[in-house]
Amino acid sequence: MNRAGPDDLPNALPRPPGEEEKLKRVWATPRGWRILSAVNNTVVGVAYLGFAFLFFLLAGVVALVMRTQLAVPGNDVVGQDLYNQLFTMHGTTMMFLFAVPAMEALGVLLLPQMLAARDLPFPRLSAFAIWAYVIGGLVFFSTIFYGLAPKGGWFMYPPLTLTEYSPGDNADFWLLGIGFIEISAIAGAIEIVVGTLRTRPPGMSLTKMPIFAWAMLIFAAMIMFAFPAVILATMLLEIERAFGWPFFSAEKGGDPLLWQHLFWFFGHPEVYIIFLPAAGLVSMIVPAMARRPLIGYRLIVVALIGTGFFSFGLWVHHMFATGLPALSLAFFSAVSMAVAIPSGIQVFSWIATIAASEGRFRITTPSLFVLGFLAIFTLGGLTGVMVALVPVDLQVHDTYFVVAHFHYVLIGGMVFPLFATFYYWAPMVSRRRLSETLGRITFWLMFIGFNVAFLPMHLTGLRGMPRRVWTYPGDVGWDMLNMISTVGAFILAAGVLVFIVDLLRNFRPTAGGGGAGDPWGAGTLEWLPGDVYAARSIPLVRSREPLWDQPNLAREVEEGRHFLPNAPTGGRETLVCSPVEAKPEYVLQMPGPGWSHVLAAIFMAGFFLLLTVKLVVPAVLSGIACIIACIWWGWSLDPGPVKGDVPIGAGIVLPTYVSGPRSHAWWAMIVLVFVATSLYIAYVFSYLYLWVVSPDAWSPHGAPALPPATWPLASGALVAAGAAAMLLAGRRLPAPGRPSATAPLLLAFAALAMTGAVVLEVLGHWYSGLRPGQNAYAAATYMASVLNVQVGIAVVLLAGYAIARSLVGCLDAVRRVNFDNCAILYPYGAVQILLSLLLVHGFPRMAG
Amino acid sequence: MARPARVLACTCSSAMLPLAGCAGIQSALVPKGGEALDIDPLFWTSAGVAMAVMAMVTILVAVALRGPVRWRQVLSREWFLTGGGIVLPIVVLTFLLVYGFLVMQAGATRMSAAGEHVVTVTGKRWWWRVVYRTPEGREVESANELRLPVGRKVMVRLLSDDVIHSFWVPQLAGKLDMIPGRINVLTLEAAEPGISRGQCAEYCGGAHALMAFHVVAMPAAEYDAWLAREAMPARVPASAEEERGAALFTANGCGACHTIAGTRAQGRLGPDLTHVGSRRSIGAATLPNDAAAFARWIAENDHIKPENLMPPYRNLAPDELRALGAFLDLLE
Amino acid sequence: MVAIGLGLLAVSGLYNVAATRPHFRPVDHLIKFALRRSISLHSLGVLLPDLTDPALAQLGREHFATGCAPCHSQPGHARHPIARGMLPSPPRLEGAASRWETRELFWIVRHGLKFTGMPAWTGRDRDDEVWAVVAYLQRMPHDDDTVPAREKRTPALGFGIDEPSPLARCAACHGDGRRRPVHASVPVLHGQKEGYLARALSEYHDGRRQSGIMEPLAAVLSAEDIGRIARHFAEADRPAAVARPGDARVARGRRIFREGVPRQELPACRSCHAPETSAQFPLLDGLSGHYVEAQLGLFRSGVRSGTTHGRIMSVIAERLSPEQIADIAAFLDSGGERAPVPAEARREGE
Repeated sequence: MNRAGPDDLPNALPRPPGEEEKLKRVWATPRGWRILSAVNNTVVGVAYLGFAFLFFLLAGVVALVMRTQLAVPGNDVVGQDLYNQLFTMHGTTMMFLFAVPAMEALGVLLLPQMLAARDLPFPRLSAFAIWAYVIGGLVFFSTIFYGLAPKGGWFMYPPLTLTEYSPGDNADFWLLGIGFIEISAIAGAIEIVVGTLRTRPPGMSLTKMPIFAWAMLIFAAMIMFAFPAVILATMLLEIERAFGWPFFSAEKGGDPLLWQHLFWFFGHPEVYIIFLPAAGLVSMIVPAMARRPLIGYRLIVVALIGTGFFSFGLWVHHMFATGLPALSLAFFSAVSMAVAIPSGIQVFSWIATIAASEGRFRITTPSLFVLGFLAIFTLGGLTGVMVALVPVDLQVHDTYFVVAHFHYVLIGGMVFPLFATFYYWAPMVSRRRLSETLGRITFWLMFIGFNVAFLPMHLTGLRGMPRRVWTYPGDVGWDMLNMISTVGAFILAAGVLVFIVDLLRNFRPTAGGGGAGDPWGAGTLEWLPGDVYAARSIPLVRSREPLWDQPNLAREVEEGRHFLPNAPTGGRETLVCSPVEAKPEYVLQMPGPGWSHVLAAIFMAGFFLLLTVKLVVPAVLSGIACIIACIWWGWSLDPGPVKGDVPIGAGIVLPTYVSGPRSHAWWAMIVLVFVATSLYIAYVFSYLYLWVVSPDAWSPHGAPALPPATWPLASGALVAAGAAAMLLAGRRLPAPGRPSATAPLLLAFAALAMTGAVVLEVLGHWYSGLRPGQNAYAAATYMASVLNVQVGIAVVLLAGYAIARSLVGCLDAVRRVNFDNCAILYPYGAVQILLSLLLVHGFPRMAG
Repeated sequence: MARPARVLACTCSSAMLPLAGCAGIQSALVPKGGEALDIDPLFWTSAGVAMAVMAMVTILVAVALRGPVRWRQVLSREWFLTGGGIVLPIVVLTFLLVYGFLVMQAGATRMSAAGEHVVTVTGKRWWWRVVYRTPEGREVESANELRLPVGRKVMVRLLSDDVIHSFWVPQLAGKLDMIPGRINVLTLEAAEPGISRGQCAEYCGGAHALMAFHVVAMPAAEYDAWLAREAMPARVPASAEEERGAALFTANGCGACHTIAGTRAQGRLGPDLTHVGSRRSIGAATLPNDAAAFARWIAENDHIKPENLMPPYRNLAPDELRALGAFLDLLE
Repeated sequence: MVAIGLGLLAVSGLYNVAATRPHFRPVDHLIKFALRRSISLHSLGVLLPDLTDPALAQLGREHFATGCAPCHSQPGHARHPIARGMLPSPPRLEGAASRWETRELFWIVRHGLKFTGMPAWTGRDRDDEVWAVVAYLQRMPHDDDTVPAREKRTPALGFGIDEPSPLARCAACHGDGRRRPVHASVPVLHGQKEGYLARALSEYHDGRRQSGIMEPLAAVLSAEDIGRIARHFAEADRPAAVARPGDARVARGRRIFREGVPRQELPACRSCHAPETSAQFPLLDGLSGHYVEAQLGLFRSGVRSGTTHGRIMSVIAERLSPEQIADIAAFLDSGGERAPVPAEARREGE
């Protein structure tokens, strides 16, 4: 991009009459009850955040009940069974229904604004994820009122959570609750990866991206690698609960520690998944309050990446007390300490930026929360270093010391930045600012209450009080400390209550329209004036703080003098740029409000809920309804090149339809393939892990001999032939307007071949006499097929969909995104099946 | 550095909480043996480092906010960022890590030195089965109380055959999990005679909160004598009431779950009661150990310790419960 | 308008509720129609068990004689004059099975009918017993019209035991020591522990143990009666075991009975259910598997956990899986402890 003066902006004045009205019409938010069909990120983002906050309140009330119970020794406000449900619900709700969704909500709400995009690249996908999360979350939480809430702790360790020790549906509801969050998290990850990499404004290269966008990008990448581990873990647990495949039962060769490895491989990154976006928010607020760019931008980006990277190497520090070999303890201890370094970099960078303030650092409600965050999070990080020392951890693990530690890290590291965010960004989506006075009261109540509640807990834990106890004796020196903590918890709650008052008095959401304007004089693009269509035109960006460095930018954007000031295709659209340099590539046509994704979410929720209460037939019906809704949803999404090329300004003419590696759909599919790969790697780890634990269970000693090699060879040949057919089908797509049966036939063959390969593999083991309930080896062997069936079903659905599109003439060599999706997934599925054949048939022969 | 730091911390905490002293039979801050004594200085060192860093960060933030312009300029330099954010943590963390490894190494050495004295503790829902091995190789079973000879290293084998529990006696050592299908080994060494309290530290469902036990450290000679007594069969009832209690014990099928060595009661599901009267508590440190508590426990255990696996015997009349209590109390 | 009219009718007291005056015909039709519809709708969810066992009907007949016949009479019997004065008049039930669906019969017997004098089944949650009555109703013979009306016996109006010796009533269902009980769901009493029998009867008497069959019978017994009956049965000999060939199921049941299942924290049955233990703990030997299975089900579902003893057994029964209960039942049906242990099972036990 050349330096451009005010006069050679992309689009000239005056703008044609009616242009802005057309934009408003295209982007209009549905009114009344139809708002449920809205997809605009500012509308669903606020709803998302609102529901996440609701779950924060609910889980907070649960915490108050627990603190009341613990106020005095031998209390009986709530009994044992209810208390066990309460702490499970508190942890699960806070982690899965509040923290992660709240961060995703901020991504949905803030990212497009910071990138001056009109919306996220898959608007209905985020709306779908939100509805699934809202329905699933509310049903899950309501189980506490029927005594059906899970009571195995938020970590759900087997064997306690196996049917033997947890009969009833309680544990299944936990698996259900987490199932929803898995789905919405992955949908969110796709949205965020593609959003940050492809919908940045022209000129905003990666090095000019706001820190929050960096944080969200790493957040999404971490979700892609961490969540599959817990997806696999929950699958294994539910399969063992429902069908008795012994993955975790020691007497059949399983191992309870397998769960812990998988769960914490997810669970520890999860903490950073929550913390990184919060740190990103702080890195946005600090420069705004200092009126000075962030010092150490590049170091912070490196630190964020480093945190994400290290966070996958320290899951074992949750398992120091399980009796693992000293060498691995030492390794994980070292990594656990190393992860403190990136946090140190960030803390010092914020201090440096504060010190470098233009004048003095402004003390506003957001900056108070940021300072509170600095204090609390630093202490939490330091106790984290203590806990990373294996011998110290052996004393304080599973005590109130650890409870104190992670509340310092999580409340300090996530809730305080979130409240800073509420106060800082409220003017962007509300017609009125939140009150500074009430905000300061909120802060002080929360800060004091928090420390009164949690500082004494360090001592309570050191004096020997374990976690997750509903009562305690009065003569061991814990009573006074607990009473203080309870008082503190109520002070903290009072702070939140004041915030709610503030919210009710002052928060007036604009349902997509412009907010109260920029009260802080910040430098990033979310403070551009805007309306339902976000920014009037998409600016050409030349620095990290464009509003500071391009003083006329706001006016130029509002006048429509930058890119895409109109709606050339007549529908919703945004600009897609190249991932690194952000050069404009094409105009993405986006769907508007609709009901298909809402129905898909409702029926998907119905499917899981009905399955949990063992109403199989209605569940299957609901599942089919969900698939139908998804097809309806998807049908309009591959518009083809009918709108031709359109000008966006500065003489640039861009296509409105692309396929292949440049298209956003291709990127989304690649993200999905990454997720599937991580899931599969987690499975391979589990298979080998179980073998290490109980090699005696493996064929041929502990199980029937493997089927003859012809079985896997036939299966492999089938899937290879299918992959070849798929490749060929891609070349034989007909030219537009000249339908041909070749491609659909090849597609059908490929789908059948994969189905056949999967079925053959299962049959081979079945005829060899192996039954999945037999031992851990059998369960692990059949599990490979479960994962293959999963991919197989996805491939069959996608292929069937592509065939249907082809039959109605919506698939050809140009209009081929639907086909491409299948063509990306198929080779992945084929490779996964071939690998599992190699593992399942090769490994026992080799190891045996 | 450990001792002064501890005194300081005690002073701090007692200044903050005038009523709560530092003594506590379940406190990691009052170590009385082996591993706990090794961990203590490491803990205080790391706590000291944490407090120092916290103080430093607080001062830096204060300076950054309101300090003189010159100081603030220093703080906003690049070298401050790399020095404070990278160099300082690496130095401090390396020091702590090495210290931590040394303590771990000491633990490993201690473990290799143990081996002669073995106790097997099995986590149950929600109590502890404790099996001693006498010098002659006989197994002597007890429950919910661990006796240790002062000055000897005792190898404690930790097992579970239901869910995961965690064995933790803060005054003696860090915790170690009891995991089905695995055997973990912990070395305990009591430095002085006394009574300590331990508790299950891994959530094990239901009555997890009421799964505690006592550790009684006694001079080695006393311990040997005690173990020899413990290996003997139960005392026989003397009074009429005790006789009646014994008869009720048999008639109500208590022997289905409990063993009293020397009688027909040979059940293995619940705690061994051969010498139950000599223990400090019943119900895994839930009730004191006396005749009245036994009677209460037998009839009301589902209220005292919800979800525990023993049925409540409310069918027994008060005088029957008294007789049973007297009988059990006799079993010292 | 209609509501106001009905309200006025009610306030005025003009509608005659005398049982001597039948309903107005339209009112009568309306009530009967509503009744049929209500029964039909509410009985929709009822699942039918197998009712083909004639012994089940036989048990139903025995209960019918004391529990239903006072109002409804029974084949070969005349209607009691007082029952004739009721409105609606309790119908004779010969042929009831052709007028009502089976599920409807069950529902009526189980829940009773408002404003008719038809009571609900006495034993709460004892649907298993209700089916015995339904089975009988299905097979109820038609009234024998060849017997002249004045020669027919008239049933007594008192429910429960009206015979001078209650023991005959006991024997009618529980057998007489040589004859097995009328149905497998009825326990053998002969040779049972006296303390247990007395307790069971007192619990029925006080309504602490649920049974629509036993509660009305026990309600009229005095403490002396209970003691006498308990002693009578306790002193009798246990009927000889009918040893049947054992299979894997029996072997598993024997193991549970003798050793319990330590993994499930399940004590051996016989550690309490043995001759030498408390007189309150019943002997299981000689009981039918059917009875024990049903009772364990009642302990598990909490129906029998209300009493102090029931509480003990409920805690234990909850640890049993349905398969294990079936194993124990099979073991008892094979003759229990008194059956010879097959050689392979002996080896297994060693």
